[in-house]
Amino acid sequence: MEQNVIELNDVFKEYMLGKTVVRAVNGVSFAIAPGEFTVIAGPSGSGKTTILNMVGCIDDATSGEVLVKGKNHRMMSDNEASFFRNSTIGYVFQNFNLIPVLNTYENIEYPLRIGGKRIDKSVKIKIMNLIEEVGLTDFIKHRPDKLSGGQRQRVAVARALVNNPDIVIADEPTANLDYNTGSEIISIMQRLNELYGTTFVISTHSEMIMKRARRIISIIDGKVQSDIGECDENKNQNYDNIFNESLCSVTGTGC
Amino acid sequence: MDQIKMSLRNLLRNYKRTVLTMSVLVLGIVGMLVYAGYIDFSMWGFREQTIKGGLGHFRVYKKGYNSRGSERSINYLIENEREVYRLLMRTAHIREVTPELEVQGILSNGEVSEITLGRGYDVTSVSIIKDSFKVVEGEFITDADSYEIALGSILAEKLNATIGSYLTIMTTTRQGGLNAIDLMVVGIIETGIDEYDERLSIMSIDIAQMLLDVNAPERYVVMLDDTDAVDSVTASLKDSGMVSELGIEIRTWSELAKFYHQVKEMNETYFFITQLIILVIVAFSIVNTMRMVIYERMREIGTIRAIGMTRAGVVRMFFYEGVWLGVFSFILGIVAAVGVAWVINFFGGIYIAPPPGQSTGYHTMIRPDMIRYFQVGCIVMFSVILGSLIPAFRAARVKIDESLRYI
Ligand SMILES: Nc1ncnc2c1ncn2[C@@H]1O[C@H](COP(=O)(O)OP(=O)(O)OP(=O)(O)O)[C@@H](O)[C@H]1O
Ligand SMILES: [Mg+2]
Repeated sequence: MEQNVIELNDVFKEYMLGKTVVRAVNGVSFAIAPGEFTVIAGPSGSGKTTILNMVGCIDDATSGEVLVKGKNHRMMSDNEASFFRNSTIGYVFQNFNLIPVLNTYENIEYPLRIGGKRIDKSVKIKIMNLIEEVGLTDFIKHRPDKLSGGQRQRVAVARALVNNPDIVIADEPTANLDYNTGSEIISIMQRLNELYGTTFVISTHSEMIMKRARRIISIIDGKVQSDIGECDENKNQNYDNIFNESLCSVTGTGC
Repeated sequence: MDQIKMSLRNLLRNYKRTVLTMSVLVLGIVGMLVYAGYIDFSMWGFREQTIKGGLGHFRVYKKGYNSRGSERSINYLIENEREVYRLLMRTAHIREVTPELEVQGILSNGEVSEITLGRGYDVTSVSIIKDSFKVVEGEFITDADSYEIALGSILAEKLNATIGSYLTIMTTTRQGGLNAIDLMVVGIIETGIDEYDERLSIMSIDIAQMLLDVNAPERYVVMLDDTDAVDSVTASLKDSGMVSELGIEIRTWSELAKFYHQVKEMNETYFFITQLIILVIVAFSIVNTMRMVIYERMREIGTIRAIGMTRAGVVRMFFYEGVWLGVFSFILGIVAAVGVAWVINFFGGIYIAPPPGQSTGYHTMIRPDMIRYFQVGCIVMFSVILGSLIPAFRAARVKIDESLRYI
């Protein structure tokens, strides 16, 4: 069996809000294999962002174990974690979070700069290919404020992939986009997932995304409500049904 | 796209604020430098005035004169006058050498008597002395063996003396005998310092020697062609061995001008305090700006941390922005300060009312001093960089997930 690229074992996450304890994640366990295209679904406040932050090694669990490529973020120094994030994980944010003073090309190149990589000709060609892949060839020199939301998110997707990460984490990547634009972004992600075999973990409450997922982990009140479509070679997978199955399990209607 | 270039773009991103912050810095630098220039000009003027006002660049005495305690100065005259004079006259940089003899006595017009501090000079060679006061009435003594005297203006008033009046001066000779000579008033002078104008009288050294019944000066006042040459000239005189051979000692103007040093020290203290105040303002405005910048860019900080920037990298990012701010302010500040100084000087300086104890005001100029400019520029730059580091360190320590949630 292939080693899981992400593993959560009985993970709890609590926040202190004044004197009250907010339990954002309440005993979550799941595992994701390399190359999966997974959707974390759930209503607002259910704990999706909190889970993705832990998976993305920018936050630690209060208890339980979060392993990314077999590594536990809690055991790393801050510099090690920075390096690990830079080389292993790509991020796509709901608000795009591009660097405003950098143009399209520079934004995509930026993680390589941060990682101290030498930008030689072959790297530049690779970046240009990536730009072509996300359809921004005509916007290389544009700064983010001259791009539409959809274009910005394309830049963000390209930026997330430039370092050949094992995992791309996208927290509600289409929430600020209209239906069609969001759909295009998901298509691009799916294509890149197939092309490079990168593991994608996407949080959303958009039906459009859920309908196109291969696996849906539903979260409610910080708990896994259902986990459907888990990579299992013995199971005869019918992707079209995942969404319905997930929906049924969440709503509790026995369909 | 390296970080240094990126930090420059970040500064330009909110150029209005950058300009505003930089104006505070530039104003601080200009303020400090104009003030420094004013102090430097005053001190330079004060120094030259002190030197030309009768102190000379340095003075030569008989050995032991300055440590004689309560003994009369008349017992420490330069008896080997010719040799000393010849030595001085053949030394480089020395422009003028004047013998001097002080006479303390009582001046009387027959009805009123006043104590006077008389000074006997070689009246034929005294451009030095002529610079130390203004002749407000009559003229200066021109003839070495004429029985003439010039009086401080207040002293003249007290004695009801006008040009052409005759006064009797009474003194004690070296041996202790009483001596008196009648002198004609030829000039009335003003030094600008009331205490002097109340006591000072000037006469030819021949008359002074006659009054004290001696035939040597008590000191030589030496003028150089350049104030900066004082140390090298006195050092070479001492090194030559002639000083000890002739039994003389040397005191430079700086050693003699206690008041000059007190004023200088006081001014330096004022300047230091002003500098400190301005520095605190500069530092506060920088910390404030950078804090605003950092709050505005909180999510950006979270983003770059998420994609792998280390804490040190974040600090460096804001550090570079601080450096740019500092460097630009440094350059602009110095250019502006030079400009302001030039304009002030062009329009004749700033009028300063008469200081306490003096009767005339004066115009002060700004004296630009490159070392000062560099110092002040560096201090400001340093505080800017420091001021930007403090918030930067805090920004680097913010938890990534929190900065990403920041709206
Ligand atoms: N820093 C924090 N301090 C206190 N409570 C927090 C903090 N961050 C998150 N929470 C709480 O944790 C719970 C889960 O939040 P989270 O952001 O993970 O939800 P979400 O599923 O991503 O919601 P959404 O779909 O609205 O983004 C919420 O109740 C939230 O109020
Ligand atoms: Mg969320």
